[in-house]
Amino acid sequence: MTGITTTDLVKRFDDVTAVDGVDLNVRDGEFLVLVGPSGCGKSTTLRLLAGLESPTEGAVEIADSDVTDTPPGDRDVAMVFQSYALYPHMTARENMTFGVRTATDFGSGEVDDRVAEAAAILDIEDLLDRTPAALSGGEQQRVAIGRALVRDPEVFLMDEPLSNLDAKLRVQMRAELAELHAELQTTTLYVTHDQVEAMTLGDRVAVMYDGELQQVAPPQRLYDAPDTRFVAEFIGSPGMNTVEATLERRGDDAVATWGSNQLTLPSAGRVADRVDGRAVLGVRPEDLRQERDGPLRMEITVTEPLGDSLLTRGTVGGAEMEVSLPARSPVGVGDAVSLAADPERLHLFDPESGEALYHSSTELDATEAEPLLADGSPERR
Amino acid sequence: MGVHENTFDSTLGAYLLLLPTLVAIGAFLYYPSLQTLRLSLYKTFLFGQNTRFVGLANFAELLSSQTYLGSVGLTFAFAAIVVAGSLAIGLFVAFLLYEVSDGKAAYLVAAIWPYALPTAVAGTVLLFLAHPSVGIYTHYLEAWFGVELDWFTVGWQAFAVLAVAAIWKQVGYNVIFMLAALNNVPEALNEACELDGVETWRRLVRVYVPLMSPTLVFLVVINTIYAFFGSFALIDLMTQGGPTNATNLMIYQLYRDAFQFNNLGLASAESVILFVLVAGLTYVQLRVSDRYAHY
Amino acid sequence: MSHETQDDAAPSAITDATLVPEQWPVHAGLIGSILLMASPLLLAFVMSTQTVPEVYDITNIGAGSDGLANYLEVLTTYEMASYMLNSLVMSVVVTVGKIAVSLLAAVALVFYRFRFKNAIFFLILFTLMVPVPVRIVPLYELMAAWGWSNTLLALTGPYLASATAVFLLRQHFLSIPDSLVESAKLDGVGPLRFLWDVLIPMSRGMISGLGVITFIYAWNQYLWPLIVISDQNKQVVQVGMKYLQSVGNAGQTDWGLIMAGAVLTLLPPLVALIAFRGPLLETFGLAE
Repeated sequence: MTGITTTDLVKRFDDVTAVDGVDLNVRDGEFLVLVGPSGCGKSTTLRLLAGLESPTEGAVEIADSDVTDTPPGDRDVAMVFQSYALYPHMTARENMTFGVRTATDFGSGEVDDRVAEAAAILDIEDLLDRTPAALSGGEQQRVAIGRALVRDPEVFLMDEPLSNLDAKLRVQMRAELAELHAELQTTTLYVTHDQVEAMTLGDRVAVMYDGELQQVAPPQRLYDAPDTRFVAEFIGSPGMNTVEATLERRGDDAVATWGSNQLTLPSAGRVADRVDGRAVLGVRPEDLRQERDGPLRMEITVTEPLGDSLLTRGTVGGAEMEVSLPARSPVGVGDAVSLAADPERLHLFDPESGEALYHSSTELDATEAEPLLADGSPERR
Repeated sequence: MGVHENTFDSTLGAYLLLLPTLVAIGAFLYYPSLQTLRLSLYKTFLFGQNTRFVGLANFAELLSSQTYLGSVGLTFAFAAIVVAGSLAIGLFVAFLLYEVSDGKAAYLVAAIWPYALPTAVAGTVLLFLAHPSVGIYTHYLEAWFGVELDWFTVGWQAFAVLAVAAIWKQVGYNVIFMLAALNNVPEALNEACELDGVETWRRLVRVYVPLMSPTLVFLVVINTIYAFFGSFALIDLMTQGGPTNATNLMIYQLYRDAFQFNNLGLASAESVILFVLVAGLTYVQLRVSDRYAHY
Repeated sequence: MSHETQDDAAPSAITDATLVPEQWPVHAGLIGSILLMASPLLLAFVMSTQTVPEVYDITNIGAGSDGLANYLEVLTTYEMASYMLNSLVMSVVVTVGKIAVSLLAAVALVFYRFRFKNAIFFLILFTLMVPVPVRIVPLYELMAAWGWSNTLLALTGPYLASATAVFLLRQHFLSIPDSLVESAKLDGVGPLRFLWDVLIPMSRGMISGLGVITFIYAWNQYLWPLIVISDQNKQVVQVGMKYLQSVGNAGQTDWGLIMAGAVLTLLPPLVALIAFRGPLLETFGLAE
């Protein structure tokens, strides 16, 4: 087992708490992506795992042994940095072998074999005798990854490794990283602020905000059933629309009302009982559609043709909302349109804590053994 | 700083790495400096064989000696002239170097080489070229300006020759630092000046000099220290403090008291005074610059 | 209206300035200053080839009839060769020693955390305020007490610690990107290997720059060798210049010979400066 476990990890810098009680579990062989806005503590968490920072409280376990007080050189982790961290005076090959001697007990023949192997995997065989200055950004990052591969560590730690690449190269390297992991199956923790990277690369994705873990789940589940309002708004491009509404029970269902707009939430009656009449309604832009006589009315303020769809922004009952309409929809700024929502894709969040209260989808039960309703009430209908 | 200083975790290791430096500054810098302080309170007799504690008597003797006070005044005048001269010439040359567009690299080397000039060479060469009887400079100056030059006997002339030698040697150093400061002037400011049609010399005085002020302050400090301490070889080779003490700067007086007259206590007191003056000047210069420099 | 004409005129003025290099005053100023600064040496060089009668014919600035004979004579008969060798040994030892000692100190100051770090850094920097003259008497006595007078140890020891070198190396190490340092840390690279394989190769420019500066500085020392070396065989070339002054016959100083000595004394630091001008200027913050 070469997983990573952190227990109640806390890191304070003077009066700033960067990491605030994180319990993270990266499973053996898993590719876990840690995502969040800048300043959320994700990089600090990674550095705590690497041993580059020492935790104020809590413990770090790698491969079932407590490494909280182990110096970084003895943790058997390899890190890939955003800035590549290649030594400018060494060739690609020297960069790849420099740390190996001290960090591992490979013989020199074995090191050569491993470099050749890594170079073949990363397709950089022709670049090995060049210095970083003679390599493009993408090539430098391949060498940096190669250096980590040669180490054959228990764990890969990657700190925004693709952020310095241009958009096209980033997409290409992303696919290659996924392929690489499929081949090597090395436990990997990958930090990024880019949610597309997070969704496409991660076996599971951990969303972090303000020093705390918000949710750890497979990408699709994160999108379909966000645990918190923050996750709902952060994941998705654009994120989920949220609006504070009054909530009333109507039989088994509930009705959310804001302004003159009303939406019915199937089987949400019990939720309405609990929340004292107010909740935050969440609905994704792509789960709204234009419909004559729909229950919602939006005044359009901005339209953004994205090619495959028309992203439309406007106000619904005084609240800012975004709707993804089919491309070439005949609407313009200043128009008022009627909208309906997919009843299978509605969400409710607690207005104070932001925790999810309800997801209307009926397909979620099987995906993960986590409670769909907060405070542990799994049965819904 | 944070990331770097956590790289290696061993206090012992850090002190081992510092050991050579600490031993060297302890043995060769701080111990002798403190000894200087101690010795300055003693009188030495019989060629340094006997010492007796005399309190501040050495300082009292120095401060009541016309020769010594004359030497202090001379040193300040010398420092002022050398600092002003080497900065002005340095600025002139550095600005030309900055402005020139063709042949910059060649001009640069040709302008900064005096940085490598040994003081002893500067002194020896000028001793000959400005020699009252065989010097070619003296010859032409006398021929063209109809003056009588004999700095072997005329005090102010000796002082002037010494200052010229000191400035000559120091200009290269100043040009290097001034050019570096000029190169740091944002290109946009140059373009703004050009658009506004600001004339060259006004640009130097109103734009560049204020922007270079941190470097200029640094150079004032360094050049002052140089003028106080660095001109020993010039005096020793050119004038030996003469004629009649006209070039007897503090450093030379100190050398004579210590190593010609073996008056170690008095010489140490002179060292202390030198230190206090230079430290005080540096402090004043830095304080003044804090108030007026544009950072 | 006048505002518009100004707008029109300004861009063309810039184009003129860049396309037509009307810089003859700049060139004239530079050539003038450079000639002024170089003329003493050019004259010294010319006169170093002259015989005594030629030198005493003051306005004669043609090449002398002695050729390079003065150089040969000054090197052999007047021992300049051995003074220069002594200077060379002193300068190389000071340069290598100072840089080695300062590298170690800078590594400690940048890559370690320990008590009294700031105090120690301050102690090192403050040595700038106590140049040799401030401590010359006790330093001389110390050398005598240790039996170091007239030795290479006395010539070089007092120059080993350097505030400037420690300061510049420290600045340079601090500018190395965090991720490179952390990468080495993750690999468990030790301090000496880190210094040798990473820091020194990454500081080559800075180290060569410091090397030239130190070499020139050491070569040009005068006061300390004058005091601590009394054995003429062991003396350095700067003080050798002083010995040369008395050279002459029948009351006529042989200035040609002395100028040959001066040119020889200048040559090593001048060659060092020209050869290493790139790193030297870079170290002073003036990248070429």
